[in-house]
This record gives sequence, C-alpha cells and structure tokens, in this order.
Amino acid sequence: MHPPDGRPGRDCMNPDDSAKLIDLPGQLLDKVVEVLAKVGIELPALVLQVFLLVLVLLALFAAVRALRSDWRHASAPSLLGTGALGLIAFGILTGILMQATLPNRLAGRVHAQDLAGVRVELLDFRGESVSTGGSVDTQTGEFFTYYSPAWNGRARTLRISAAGCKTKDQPIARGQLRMESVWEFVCEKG
Amino acid sequence: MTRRALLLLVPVYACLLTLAHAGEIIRFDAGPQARSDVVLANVPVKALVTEFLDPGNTGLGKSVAYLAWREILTAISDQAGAGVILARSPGDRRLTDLLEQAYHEAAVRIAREQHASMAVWGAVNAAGDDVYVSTYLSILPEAAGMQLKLRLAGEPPLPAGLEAGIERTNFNFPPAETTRAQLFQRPVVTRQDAVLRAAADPSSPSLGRAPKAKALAAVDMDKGWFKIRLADGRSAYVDNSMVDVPPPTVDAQVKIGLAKSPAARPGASMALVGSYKVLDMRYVERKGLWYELAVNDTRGWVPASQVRPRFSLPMVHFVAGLYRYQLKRYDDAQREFTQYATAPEAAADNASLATAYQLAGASMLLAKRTVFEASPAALEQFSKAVEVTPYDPLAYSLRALSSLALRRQAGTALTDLEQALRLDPDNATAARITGMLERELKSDHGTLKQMLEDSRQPALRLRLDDMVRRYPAVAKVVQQEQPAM
Amino acid sequence: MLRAVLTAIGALLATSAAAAPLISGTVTAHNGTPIADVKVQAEIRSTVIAAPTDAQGRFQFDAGTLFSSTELRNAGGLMLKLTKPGFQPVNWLVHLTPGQAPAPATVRLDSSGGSAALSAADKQVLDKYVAAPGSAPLFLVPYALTGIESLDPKSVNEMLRANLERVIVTHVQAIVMGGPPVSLKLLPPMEQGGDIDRMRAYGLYLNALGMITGYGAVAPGHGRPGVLDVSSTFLVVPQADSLGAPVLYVDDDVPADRIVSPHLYQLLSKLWGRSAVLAMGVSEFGKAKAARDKEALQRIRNYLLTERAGAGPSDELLVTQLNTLIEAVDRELAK
Repeated sequence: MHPPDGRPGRDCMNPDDSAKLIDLPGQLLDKVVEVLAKVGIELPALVLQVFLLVLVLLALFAAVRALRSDWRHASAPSLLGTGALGLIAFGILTGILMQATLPNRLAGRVHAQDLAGVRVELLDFRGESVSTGGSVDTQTGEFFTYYSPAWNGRARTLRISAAGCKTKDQPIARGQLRMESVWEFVCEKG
Repeated sequence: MTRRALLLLVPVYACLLTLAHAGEIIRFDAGPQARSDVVLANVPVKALVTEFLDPGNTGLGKSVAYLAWREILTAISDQAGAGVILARSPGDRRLTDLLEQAYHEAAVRIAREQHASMAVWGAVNAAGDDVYVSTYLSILPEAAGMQLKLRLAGEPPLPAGLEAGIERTNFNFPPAETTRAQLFQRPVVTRQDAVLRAAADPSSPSLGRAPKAKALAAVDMDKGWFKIRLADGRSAYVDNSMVDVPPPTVDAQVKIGLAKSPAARPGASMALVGSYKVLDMRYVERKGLWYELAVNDTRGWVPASQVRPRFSLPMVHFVAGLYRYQLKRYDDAQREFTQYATAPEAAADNASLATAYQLAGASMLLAKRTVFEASPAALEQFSKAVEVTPYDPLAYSLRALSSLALRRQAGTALTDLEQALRLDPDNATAARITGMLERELKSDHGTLKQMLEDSRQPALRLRLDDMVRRYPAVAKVVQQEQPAM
Repeated sequence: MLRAVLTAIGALLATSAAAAPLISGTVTAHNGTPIADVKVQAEIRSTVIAAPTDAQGRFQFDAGTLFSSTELRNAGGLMLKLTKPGFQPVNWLVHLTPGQAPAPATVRLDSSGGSAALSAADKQVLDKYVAAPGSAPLFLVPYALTGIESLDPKSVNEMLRANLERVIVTHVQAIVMGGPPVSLKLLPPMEQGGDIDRMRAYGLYLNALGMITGYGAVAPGHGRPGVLDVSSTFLVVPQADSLGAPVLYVDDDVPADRIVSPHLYQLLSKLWGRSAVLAMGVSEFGKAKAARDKEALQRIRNYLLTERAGAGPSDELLVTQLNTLIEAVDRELAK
C-alpha cells in the first residue's frame, strides 16, 4: 500500500508470524508482570523485572547454598527446584535483555476519514502513556512514536485520539513491535 | 519757538521709538510654494467637473454635474484667474466608466490630462422625488499651492520651521439629501440672448428667444438643459451654457435697505436675518454682483457682498473657498469655508469638516498684515477642528501655531504640541515647531522670545527640556544646523 | 586498539553527520500563493520551534541544530507541524533515510472553516472570483432582503455593490497612497451566506480583504411603505497573531421605498471604509513582518495614523483597534 502523494512508504507484514520460540521468555515475563499489575503494583516494568530477578536470584542462591553442602545426596525435587530457579533467573534476565533490544520506536499508519488532530500514544502494561511524538501526518496517516522498552516494558496498547472523538485503544501484538501496521480509526463523537 | 518745537518732537520721537520696538512685524504667510512656480504656471487654478456617476440609471448624472458646474462658476464669478471646465470624454472610454474603476485616481488622471489642478465629481442616487448626491474632490498632488500651509514669519526673521500644512488631496464630502425640486426649481438668469427650444435637443424647433439678463423660472433639468415654464404656462428648454445659476437662497445677518433695481439707491434700512430666496442676479459694472431677494411680502436688490450665498451642494462652497484661498482673497475664502462648515450635512465627514475649519482659521490669520491685528476668533476655528478630529496631530499643531501668535503664550502651545507628539512621537511638524521653540527660547535675542509673554518662565524651560528628552524627533531638530532662511 | 577507537569515532561522526539533515520546504495556499508567517515546528521525541516561513512561503532549518544527535540517530522520521491562524494545521512527515538528504516539502494549507468547510460546489462557484495575488478585493455576499416585492433583489444588490464600492474605495484612496487596488465584487447568492464561519471560509478561500453581507426584512407599514430593518456585517479576513479578525455589525432602518437612502451608505461608508483600511493594515503587516521590510512597516504606520487622524470623538472602538495595530507595527519597527 502506498500513500497517495507518492512519498516512499514501507510495506506492512503479517503480525501472526511473530510467535517464535525465542520470544518465550519474554512472553513469560510479560505474563508475570501483567499479574503483578493486576495486583496493583504500579511500578515501571524494569523495576518489577529487576525486583523479580533479585528475588529469584536470592532463592537460587539459597537453594544452591543448601545443595552445596551435600549435592551428591540432594533429592531430585530439590535439584529440580534449583534447576528451575536457575532457568527462571536465566529466563528473566534474557527477557530483560531482549526487552532492551526492542526498537524504541513504533512506526505505523492510521487509516481514518479525517486525520486532522489525530494523535497516537503507546500505553504500557499499566495502561499508562509512555511515549513521546505521536503526531500523525495529515495526508498519509503515517506516524512515529518513541518510548523506552527497556524501562517500561514493551508497548502493550496503541491509543488513538482526536479532538471531538472518543479515544480508541487497540492491543499491540508482540510481533507488531518491529513492523509498521495500519491502524483503523473511526471517530465516534464524544 | 524752536525749543517748543523740540519739546513737541521729543514725545513724538518717544512714541516712534516705542512703536518701533513693539512693532517687530510678525505675520502669517502661506509659506513658500513647495513645488516650483513653473509647475503652477502650467497648472492654473482650474477645476474640472465631470459627469456624476449614476448607479441606479436615474438619468441625473449629467444634470447634477452641469448644475454643480454652473454653481461653482457663480460662486467665483468675480475671481480673476480662476476657471472651471467641464471634462471632455477622452474618446474611447466614458468618463463614468473610468471613474467607476479607479475613483479618485481616475479623476486625478482626467484632470491632469485636461490641464486642471483639481477634479470635482460625484454620484447621484434617486428614489422617487428624493435625490441623494455624493460629491468628491480630487486635487492633483503636484498642485501643492492648493494645500493649506501656514507659516509664522516675521521681520526680523523668525526661525524656519514654525509652520504646518495639510497633505490630504482626496476629499469625500458627505452626501446631500435633497429633492428634484430643491435642485432644479429655481430662477436661472440668461447670460446672453438665449434660444428657447421645444425639447432638450439643439435640433429641436425654437419656441422663441429670451433677452440677456432675464430671470427664467426653471422647473426641472434634462441632461444639460433647463426646463423652464414660460409666462403663458408652456414649457421650453434652454441650454445651461446660456444661463447663470444663482444660489437658491442666501443667508443674511445684516441691516440693509432693499433697492428697487440692481445698484440703485437702497430703501429704508431693515433687518435681514435668516435665509432668503433668490429671485434674480445681476452683475453691474464697477458695482459688483447683486441679488434680488424675496423678503417677507416684497422683493428687492442687495449687494452680494452683504449676504452669504448658500448653494445646493455644500461642496460648491468648499471648492470656491479653495479658489479664494489660492488666489489670496482670504476674507472671501473664510466666508466660503464657514458656509461649508455650517451646512447641516457637513458634520457627517469629520475630515473635510476639520479641514474647512482649519482653512477658515488660516484665512482669518492670513487676511491681516500682522498677527497683532488678527482676530482671536481664528483660534476658535482651530479649536473646532480639534474637537472634530481629536486624534489628528496636525490639528493640535495648527492650534499651537495660532495660539503662539494670537495669545503670545508658549505655555498653551506646548500643551497642544505635547498632545500631538503623544499621538505620534515621530510627527515631523510638531517636532519641528517644538524644536524651534526650544532653540528660540535658548537664544538671547530671538524675535519670538521677545514676543512671547511667558518666555522667561522657568516652568516653561522645564517643560521644553522634558519634551526634548522624551521625544528623539524633537532632540534631532534642536541639534540640527539652522537652515538658511 | 587505537585503530578501533578511531574507526569507532569515525563511524560516530559519520552517523551524526548523516543524521543532521537540512529540512526545507514551501507552504502555499490552494491556488499556489505562498503563505508567509506560517509557524513551523518539528517533532521527533520532543517538539522544537523552527523559524516561520518567509514572504515566499519558504522555510529551512538544520535539524542538527535543533535536535540532539542521539534523537536524530534514532529517528525514523521528523514530523513537521505547520500552523497559521485561519488555516487548518498540517502535519508533514519527513522520512530521515541515512545517507540521503530529505526531499523538500511542498505543503498546501487549506483555509480553516471548522464546521463550515466548503463543499466542492461552493469551491466551483468561488474559483471564478479568487483574488489574484497583489489585489485586495472585498466581496459582497448578496443581502437577503425580504418583503420588498417591488424591487428586484438582484438589481438592489447590484446597486448596493456600486454604491458601497464607491464609498469604501474613495475612503481608502483618501487615506492610503498608492496601496493595492481595492474593489468590491458581488458574489452570486451562496448557501447560508449570512453565517459568519461560512463567510470566513469563503473569505479565506478567495484571499479576500473583507466580506460584507447583511439581511433585511420589511416591517409592513399598513398602507405606508413600511420600514426596512437592515443588519450589515463586515468581516475582516486577514489575521495576524493576536490581532484577530474583527467582525463589525451595523444595524439600521431605512424607509422601505428608499433603499438608496444615504443613511445606509453613510453609516456603512464610515465604518466599512475604515474597516477596509484596518483589514489592509492587518494583511500588509503580516507580510511586512515576515519579510522584515521596515519601509513597508513605516508606510503601514503612516496610513494607519492618517486613518486615526480622521476619527471623530465618538469613534473610540475604531481608535482602539487602530491603536492595537499601530502598537504592533511600532514594536516591529523598534526591533
């Protein structure tokens, strides 16, 4: 799809291709953070993740200390448990590192009847706005919006707003974070 | 004998000495011509009248123009060196088309092409019997002599710069609301043997002739022809160029006797106060212009100089005033501008009204040899102008200049100059006058300094110093080299 | 080690050089006239203000001086936000491709009508009347007059146009020497012509100096001709920052059989003539300010002062408006 005035645009990809194995730790982390958010802990993602990591590392440390004294005679469950803790720690760390490698901007295009005054924002797992930029090209609907995935976690929701219209929130799939998608916006007066 | 003669001479001598000191001659003049006289020679004091615009197609455009033309001619009939011409159509375009495109700019172009210094034009609208006439005056920018410029001069000379002038050249007079009857039902007086025709057409059959100097009763106008009613009730048409058009009424405030015929001995003196209808008009060799007026139940002749004509269109007075002013007939000029200012419609346009007051005041000042003889009423005219246009720095500057001369006080003048500079800190006229005052009062033997009663007051010096400080334009004038007189 | 460091520095420099592009463009109205004094902002993560467009509608700035190199390096594009009162704001995305200079933007600003945006049919009618650059026309949207059966509304409006034009132009000519030619053109009847927002939309589309319209109704006189109640509106179209775009109203009543009455023109002549001069002042001030033309500013100041000089003691509102504009001109001149 090319914008009408002939300026070079980017092609869009299908978001469903992104369910890859490599994203598993990240997905796990997301879930844990979501749960924490539901509980009502309102802290940036990185803080929570580091806190979790520290907790897991402490548990791992304790478990390893307990095993070290007599690992040859350790029971299978305690070995498994320690192993699992280790894996979790590794998973969290990997998740944090991968989160940091997410692009710090989201490009896309808004498709609407009237683009005047339309803005986009990125919301994190708490539903808080974490992005800057977000103005929408009034001819083509293209936008760039910037945030810090390392700190806030990945962008979860795209919020589209316009004067005189109700704001619309749409979930951002993980796979959409690295590509440009088209977002539909229909203005509902309100 | 000789000793007595000497004794007599001493007081005479003393008187003469005193007079010589008191009599530094201070007067107003109309300033040097800004443009060279060569240009003025090529552009005589001549106005051009064009056909009036007629957006509603009433057919009155030509008639009103002819009427205005004839009225102006009557108003300046005794003025040598003045002329009014009717504009010719340039050929391929109609005058009204040109005017409708560019208005004042077109009028100026037409005047320039036909060697006139100003153009009189207008527009007519009519509804039933009511006629609304708007008039305009466009003065050629290069005809600088037409403009008011007032300069305080003296012997021994005063510093240059004590002068003020207006620069407006386009005037939009307020519309006159009148009727066909008021415009066209009036006596017209034949200037020569005139042919009376059956229709408003030179080829139409003649119905007879009217002798020179006969008053005919006009009832209407058709283009350039007056429709007149003959004694037997028939209608006939006479071309406007064959008749003079007296003012429909005159204003009088005089005790005078009516004469039975023009320039004859007047009858018993009576008070003429108010407005009187004019029945006839005659110019008598060496005796000037005379009007026959309808007074109560009688009629009689009075010299035109004893009454003030009131023409159908107030604009006629303004234009006549400009002629008089330009040709230095200041008393007549003042009367004309006052007639304009007292017309009921005049109040509707502040700018022209203020100019009329200022020109009236200037005429009063210029009419006298020295300012000591000038009437203090001149100052009133400038005050009226200030009332009418309170945001015009020039109005204050003109009043300041005249109060310097008439009241011989700098204090009141400074108040006005301050107001002018407050309105426009860069105003050249006000800055110049203030600067010159400062220099004059700082000098030891300035003529003006001696004339002004309050010139040595310390408060005055303080005020002037303050103004020099506050307004860089004034400071600049003070620091300039004295220009050659 | 040193080579590595040098290469790293070189790469960094190269990146930062490539990431400091020159952003330029031109802003025009729909008919190609350049629009001066358009506010230009640039947004990546943060929003910065660049210099406004010049008299030819051009703008240009070095993104490297307005944004940090980090911000530029990570930017996919730079969003230009162009605003000017009276126009609909436009966002224009400039793609920042490393190694490639961004193409100059050619932005078109449409006049804002808000809820009164012009329909295609409106535009088709108005296209015939759009003012050429350098002219200063006023437009008369025909008066809606009801209850005057004897008069043909078309001829009434034509006569109104002729008289109003004369009255306004002669006033302007007496005040402004050698300014742009002012004229009053009659538009065909437009839908909802009396609505102010609509009028403003028409005025902006036409590049008008001012829009005049009105409406009137005759109160029946029971045998006598009756009285026409007329309300007239003059809309000053050009806007310059805080000076706004005044709308002036005049109400009057005229005997119904005397539409040509000078009362109507007289009142209008003073107000409308002055409003035309004010509108001219606002419009020329905007251009002179953008072009930093001191001579033009002085000229404008002179004729505004001349206009004010002719004001009478009861014209306080007009004098206030003129003073606001004169002060703005003085501030520019003092710079």
